[in-house]
Amino acid sequence: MRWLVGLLPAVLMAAPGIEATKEFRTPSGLKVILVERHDRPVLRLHLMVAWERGDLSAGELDQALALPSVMKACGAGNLNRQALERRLADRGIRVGFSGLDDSLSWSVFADSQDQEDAFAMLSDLVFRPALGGLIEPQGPAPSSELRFRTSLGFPSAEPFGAPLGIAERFSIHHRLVRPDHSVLVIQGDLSLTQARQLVLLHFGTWFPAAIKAEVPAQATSEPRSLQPGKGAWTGSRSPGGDAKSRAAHIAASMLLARWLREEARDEVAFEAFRPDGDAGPWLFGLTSTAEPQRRLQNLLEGLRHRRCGKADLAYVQRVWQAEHSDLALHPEDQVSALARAALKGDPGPFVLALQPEEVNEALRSRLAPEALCWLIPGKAEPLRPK
Amino acid sequence: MVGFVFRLLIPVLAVSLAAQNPDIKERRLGNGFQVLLAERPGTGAVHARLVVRAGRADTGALPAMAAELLARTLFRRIGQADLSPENNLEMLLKQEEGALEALRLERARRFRMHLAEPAGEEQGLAQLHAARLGEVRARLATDSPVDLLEALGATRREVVTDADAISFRLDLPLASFAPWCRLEQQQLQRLILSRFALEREAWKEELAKGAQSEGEALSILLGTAFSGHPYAQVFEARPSWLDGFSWSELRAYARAILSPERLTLILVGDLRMESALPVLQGTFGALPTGPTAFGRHLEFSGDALTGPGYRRLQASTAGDPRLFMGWRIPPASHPDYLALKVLAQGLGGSRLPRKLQETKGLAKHLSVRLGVPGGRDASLLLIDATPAEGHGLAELEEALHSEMLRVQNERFTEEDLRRAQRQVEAEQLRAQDDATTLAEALGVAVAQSGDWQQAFRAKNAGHDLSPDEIQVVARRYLVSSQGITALLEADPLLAPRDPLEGRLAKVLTTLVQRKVDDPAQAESVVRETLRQLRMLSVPEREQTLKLLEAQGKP
Repeated sequence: MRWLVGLLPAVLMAAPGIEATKEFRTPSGLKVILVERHDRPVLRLHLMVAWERGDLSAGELDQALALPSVMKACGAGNLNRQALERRLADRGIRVGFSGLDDSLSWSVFADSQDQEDAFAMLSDLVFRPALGGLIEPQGPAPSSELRFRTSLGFPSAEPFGAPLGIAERFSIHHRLVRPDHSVLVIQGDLSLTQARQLVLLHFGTWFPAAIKAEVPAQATSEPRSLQPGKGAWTGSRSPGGDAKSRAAHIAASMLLARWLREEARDEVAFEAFRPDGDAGPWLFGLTSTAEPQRRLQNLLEGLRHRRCGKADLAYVQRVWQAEHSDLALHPEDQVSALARAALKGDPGPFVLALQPEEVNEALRSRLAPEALCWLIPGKAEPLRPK
Repeated sequence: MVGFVFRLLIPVLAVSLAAQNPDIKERRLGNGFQVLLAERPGTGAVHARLVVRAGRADTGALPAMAAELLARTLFRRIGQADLSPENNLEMLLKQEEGALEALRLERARRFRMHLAEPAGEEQGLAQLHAARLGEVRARLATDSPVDLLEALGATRREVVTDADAISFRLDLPLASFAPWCRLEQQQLQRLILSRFALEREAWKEELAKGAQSEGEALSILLGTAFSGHPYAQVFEARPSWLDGFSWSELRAYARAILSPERLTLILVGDLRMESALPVLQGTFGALPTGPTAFGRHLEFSGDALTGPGYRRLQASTAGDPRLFMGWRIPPASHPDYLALKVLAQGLGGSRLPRKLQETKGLAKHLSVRLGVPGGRDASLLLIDATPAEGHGLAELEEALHSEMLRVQNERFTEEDLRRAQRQVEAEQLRAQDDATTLAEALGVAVAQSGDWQQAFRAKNAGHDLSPDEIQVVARRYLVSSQGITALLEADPLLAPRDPLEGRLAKVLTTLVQRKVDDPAQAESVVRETLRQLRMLSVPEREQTLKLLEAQGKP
């Protein structure tokens, strides 16, 4: 299997007309990767901003949760949202935005003739979002499950803090969205010289905001009452770490998904939150039985002691390889994978070089009773320490 | 200034978009099987999309659900049981079919006799069927523990069934391409449909959970718009119908529609036609030809386009109020279709949202779609709108109607038209970039017109459409005689949307009955009043209730 190690970078780059990647940095620390591709007159930009586990302080979880919806609704530069959408429509430019547990991403797809507009739009969207016209959102507050799920990615954040306003969300935006935590992948019909000029012209004035991160407070473990409901949810926090240490957690989550299908069929909801195939928090939910917490505890304890063998690992490595072997056919996923690998490291070679004991260790540590947090809808009073 | 100087610095390397068309290689095998290939050398993988050019509108006497059930059964998973004729799985499937049929007839008898509780015989048949189903499940777990597609490293798998076609797509490592062709050919040749019973039960569970509400709403509209035409029933789905399908019946249907003349394989990836052709000929080229007359093969005759004249319907449905406004348009292969596409883009992309959402604030959601439910025959250009808080369906309908009259009488501005055409062209450019979207665009074009080049018609048009050309098609098709309007919302008397509405209905009924003798007329007055009250906020409705209650006191 070791021959597979190192295959992924080649797969990431494999596509007709693609030349080797070229990299440079702006003075503010923005890393830029250029993938020249001259077979089609199109340009694709993908800017990813990563954050770390300690970047959010207590009470900011709701704001982080709402940030994607604010970014999708706000304007850019001197354009409000409606004017921005008209401008995009005029040029036939498509922009996308996604918020994951550990990052925010903007993508732009344009005709290469509109490259200057594409860069201008992206820079405005990323570090000059326009608040004009936005009002406080009237929609329902995030559900208990969603808050709980997101808190697993940010151990310092308080899952059920009080919501703040739009201005506070923008403050979080200014603090988190920094050039030195970001990578811009450019794929398309332009040269390194052109790319440098365009990046400096449009991103040269982007410097980290002078807002200092607050010292993260410890999350409270005091039980709080939630809306009555049935079922139980439990989660294991995001592992973080470098690409090598995340590899075992990626393999463990892939294996868990398979084992849960075998042992519990559709009874247990399991989400591994592997953004772009990377490691993330684990969330397990069970609503169908009379004693969901006990059933879930027993099930997870059983899985914790089930051992990953060579055949299991071969399955994981085969699936991982299959999931990544077709990236060259899907340019948007390809640039997203390049951006993630540049920011967080590429765990692929490490997944393919894993030993079963490393996966077993990940399972044992992540499913240990002391590593699990529980969400049980209902009254908290009986659970409060006397 | 900086922008201007910079433009000068950058040589315009891009070729005109209109000149760019994907290089598609096309072959038809001896048995009529069609292959389209977009070569992407060096990618190390293949995206494959198998298109059956017979969809929900081609199920003949069977309900449209048959197409979806077949797609789920065939393509969700392939096991060893689908390839080996040696075991007695077919006998088990027949036994399960017999048990279900007996149970279904017994249930029908009970309903005819108005018996509430199932009798002992029915319970026995239910147990028998459960036992047979369990045997099928156990046999498949033993014989087909491995999903052979997963074993080949297939990813991004998806099955889609629409009015005109069934499509199955997946990505494969290059080395798995030939084994997959062999696997698919064996499955299509034998057509054992081993997972039929399991997929039927799984779908029943999904329907019981309330899935497919989008299809239900459209079904009301299409049933009226295309009465007597296969497009009328394409979205109809009822759990009870699933029990009416037998394995033998679905197999006969599958044999008929899966003839090679109706199959197109679209490949995008690291293949050359010269090297792929021997594999394709040895597998898909060996599929036997069969009858192709199953279902109603739609040929555009123009009848469906003229239709029965303007229709307006009002229906009580669950969920948010919704307004559908549609007009009959010709099939996707028609010369006017491109102008209609640009017109729909212009309406939905800027004109209607600007006037009805931004300026008047009447609509919460608004979209314009072309080719509903399909594009092989006459279909609908459809506006789908949800009123904003404080506005009703009738108000939205009136505003939309007047806007559409303006579209016929006032020409599109050059700016709006160029924007719309640019968006249509950009959409086609984007479609070519990704293997999945390219194959999807080709598949839709082939299913609707038989010609993949239709997918890039906007870019191949070679000229900008003029405002006059757009106005001509607007006057030709978006006229009342071609139109249909459907107003869907929960009836305030039959399904009050909250307890407050229930109390209002009660008080209003008491008050109105004092003044109006005719019960039907009284009900009509109460219903319309409740509809008007829905425009008010909750505090305003509570205030109204208090006032009405005060009036109602003797």
